[in-house]
Amino acid sequence: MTKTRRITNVLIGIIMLLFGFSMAIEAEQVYKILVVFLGVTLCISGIRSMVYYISMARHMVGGISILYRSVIVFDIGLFTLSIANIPLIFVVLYLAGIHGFSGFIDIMRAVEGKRMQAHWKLSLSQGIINIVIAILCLVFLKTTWVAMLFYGTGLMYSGVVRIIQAFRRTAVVYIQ
Amino acid sequence: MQLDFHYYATYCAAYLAGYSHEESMDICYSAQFVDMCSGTLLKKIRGPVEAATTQLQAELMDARTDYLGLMNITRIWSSFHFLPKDLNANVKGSRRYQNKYRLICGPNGALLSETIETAKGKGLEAAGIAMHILADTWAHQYFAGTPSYVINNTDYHFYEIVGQGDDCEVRRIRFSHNPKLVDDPVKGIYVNSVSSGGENNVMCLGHGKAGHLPDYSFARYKYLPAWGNYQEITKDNPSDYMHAFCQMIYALRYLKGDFDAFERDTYDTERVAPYREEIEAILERRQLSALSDWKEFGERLSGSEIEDFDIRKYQKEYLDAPKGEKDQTYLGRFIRAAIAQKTMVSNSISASGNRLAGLGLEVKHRDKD
Repeated sequence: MTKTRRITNVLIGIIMLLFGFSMAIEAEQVYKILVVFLGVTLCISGIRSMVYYISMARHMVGGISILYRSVIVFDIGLFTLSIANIPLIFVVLYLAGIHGFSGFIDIMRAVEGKRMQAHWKLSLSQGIINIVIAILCLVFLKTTWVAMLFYGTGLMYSGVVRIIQAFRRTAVVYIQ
Repeated sequence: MQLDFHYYATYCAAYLAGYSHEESMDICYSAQFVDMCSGTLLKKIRGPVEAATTQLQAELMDARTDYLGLMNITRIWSSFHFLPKDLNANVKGSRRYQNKYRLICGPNGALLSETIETAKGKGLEAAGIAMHILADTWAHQYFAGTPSYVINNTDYHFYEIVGQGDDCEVRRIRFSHNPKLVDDPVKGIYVNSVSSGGENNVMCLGHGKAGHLPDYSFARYKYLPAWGNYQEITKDNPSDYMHAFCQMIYALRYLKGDFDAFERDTYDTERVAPYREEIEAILERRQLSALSDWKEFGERLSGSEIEDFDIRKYQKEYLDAPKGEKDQTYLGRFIRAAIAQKTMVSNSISASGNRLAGLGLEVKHRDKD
């Protein structure tokens, strides 16, 4: 991981911590900003991947997966933006879904990491906690402030994990 | 390729080409020093940083991957470790894709002739640098000396061929990302760089995604290169390394003045013939380093002791030399030759309309100064 990448990961981690803390204490005011921020970020990421696929990755072995990923990310981004003006309960439902899905992906990555003898314990714990938080959000769906408290806590945890990951050693084959 | 081939095998090639023991030592030291001459080392000896022929792992981890950073990486790795085979290769795709594709390394390209001609008459240090580059065109072929996910990536379709003929076993390679792990040829577990979707991520530089397999002379494997349109490639390292060895002898004989012109795709098999079986046995042995085998063979060949490679050997001479006389030292001549090679490759890439190595003018101007 380059220095720039590490700094970016630390900054993302700090932003997640700030959003998480704000959600935990002032959900009504913050959730719209969070949803718009999330939606715009996903849309930009999806468009960037599409441009990369068209200009480069369509020629590579397995490059089609980049197109699929870009369409899915862009679609999720648009959907996220479309729910910015609906009642909080639906937003909590959506965020819990995203959290649960993210947890599932983390567990898949941990399984792959273990198979490849790479780091996996942190990903596994992150995945399990994400899924637990998603379940708690659904259980306390009717008392939205409790659900948002759980969601905010989960976001803060993800932020901390992101910062830890930024300082981890990674394998690079040294070419001679 | 590693110390075993760049140092000891290059010594053997130089001796077989007709150089004396002392001359062969100078050539093989220079060939190995290409893997040592980083910006960090040049700063330490107060040499010109633009002469860097490699980047340390720590330097790579912190290397910028913006436009200028990529140019610096490409200048170093394309010039000395992944010499492009065809700068005008015909391939479909955007200009950006074509530029990366055309940096794929391979043997017997036009730039190899230019490399040998650049070294001609420049001394044993230049000859050593040229031998490092020549040998790497065989070991590092099919990968590019620039970070590129769409060119250098590999996937799960990666198999090692163990043994030969009807008795050979084809087994899927298990790649590990554990930085503490050592390659295990017995179990077929090899360390490679972590997967990264970023096009310009340094993890996608050269053969990082294939681990050290291209560096092992015994390895035979087949895989799907990212750029290969789903065509499987079989890499036969023992054969490639033997070609590299024979071509080094031929190229060194040309540099010595035995021939009037350097012809590509020409190999000196005659001088190798008496030792062929012995060399093939070294190349085929399944070991992570053939260092002691090559050393023993080289010492038997010349009857002289081949001293171990010592990175500090010529540093004091360079540091102590007065400013105007540094170019007359061993490292001074190495630095001049490295700058000449980097300038030639950067300018050739630039002249082909490809800006990935920059304009090549900066190095040229400094060289003139």
